[in-house]
Amino acid sequence: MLRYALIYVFTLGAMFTLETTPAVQNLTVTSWTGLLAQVSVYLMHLIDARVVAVGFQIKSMDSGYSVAIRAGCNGVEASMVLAAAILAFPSAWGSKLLGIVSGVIVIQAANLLRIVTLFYIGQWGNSALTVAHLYIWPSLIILDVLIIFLMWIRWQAKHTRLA
Amino acid sequence: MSNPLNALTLRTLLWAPVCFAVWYFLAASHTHWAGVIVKHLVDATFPVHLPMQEHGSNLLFLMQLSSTQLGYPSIQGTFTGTIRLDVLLHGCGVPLFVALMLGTPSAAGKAWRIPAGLVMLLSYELLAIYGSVILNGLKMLHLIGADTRILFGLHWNAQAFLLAESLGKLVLPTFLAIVLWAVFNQRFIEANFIKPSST
Repeated sequence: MLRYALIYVFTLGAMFTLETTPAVQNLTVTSWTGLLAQVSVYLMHLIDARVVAVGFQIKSMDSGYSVAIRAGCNGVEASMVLAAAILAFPSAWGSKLLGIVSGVIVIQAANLLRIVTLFYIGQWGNSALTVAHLYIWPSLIILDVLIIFLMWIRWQAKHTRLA
Repeated sequence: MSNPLNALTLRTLLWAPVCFAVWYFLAASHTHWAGVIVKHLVDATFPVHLPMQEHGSNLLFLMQLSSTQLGYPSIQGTFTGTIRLDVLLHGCGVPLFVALMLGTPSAAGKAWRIPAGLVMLLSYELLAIYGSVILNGLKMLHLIGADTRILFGLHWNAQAFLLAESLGKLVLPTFLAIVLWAVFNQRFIEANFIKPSST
């Protein structure tokens, strides 16, 4: 347990340090955030055609209301928390890779749902947006990370036993 | 429910609204006590006087610095800036932790583990608020072009600020709740996930 915790903290620390370097911020995080805005709007068009993405912003053409997706809102941190947990866990590299790829996809899907819901909650009321944005959704996203990780360790334990 | 993960998820999601509602309802008194303790910490350690006010779940610290303190002795005047901190932002792991503990099917030791976890999370919250006062003070001094070293001799570093902000505000409050839950429920995790008996 102690060994796992040490490797985990070291891996996560290295990932966060790397993520906050200006080069990584500009190259990956910023472009990823822009892409998220585009995909969110694509999804919103299924129910609401009067929404556009402008850079990191999502804007309603009817009300003029807009939200900006900023660093910290793009699911990258949650993905790193999961990736570090999987990397630190003693398991085959193939299992780790599968866990990280599928886990990150699920986290990003949850984050898209978060962005879409926050956009509409924000139009409803500012205090509701604060509660949902700052308190409830971060908890739901990290709970999502925990559930994915527990699913993965259960799956890889059975997979290892069968192999 | 035979699947422990389904049971954990469902029970946690059922407890979460209750825990969040209680936590949010108690926000005003919670903010007050957090403010009282952090104010004592700030008064005891800060090199400058920082009056504090409460506004809902926010703590406002008024930073007042003379031009001499800022390193501009030739100019007369005082710089005033406000640091606004949301207490609940640093403590949103509390309801998540309680919901997870109550949602865990194994009942052993909850009576002491929940209060112990709460003490740890609330201690983190107080330290995080205190750390945020330092970070935002540094940022403010940097933005007005003053020497940041008047705060504990610290140098301004944009990357370190971003790292501390993302960890302290966005990740650690909820992440610590998960870590504490995992530490308190090692047997449950081992029996049901790491070495599951069922096929």
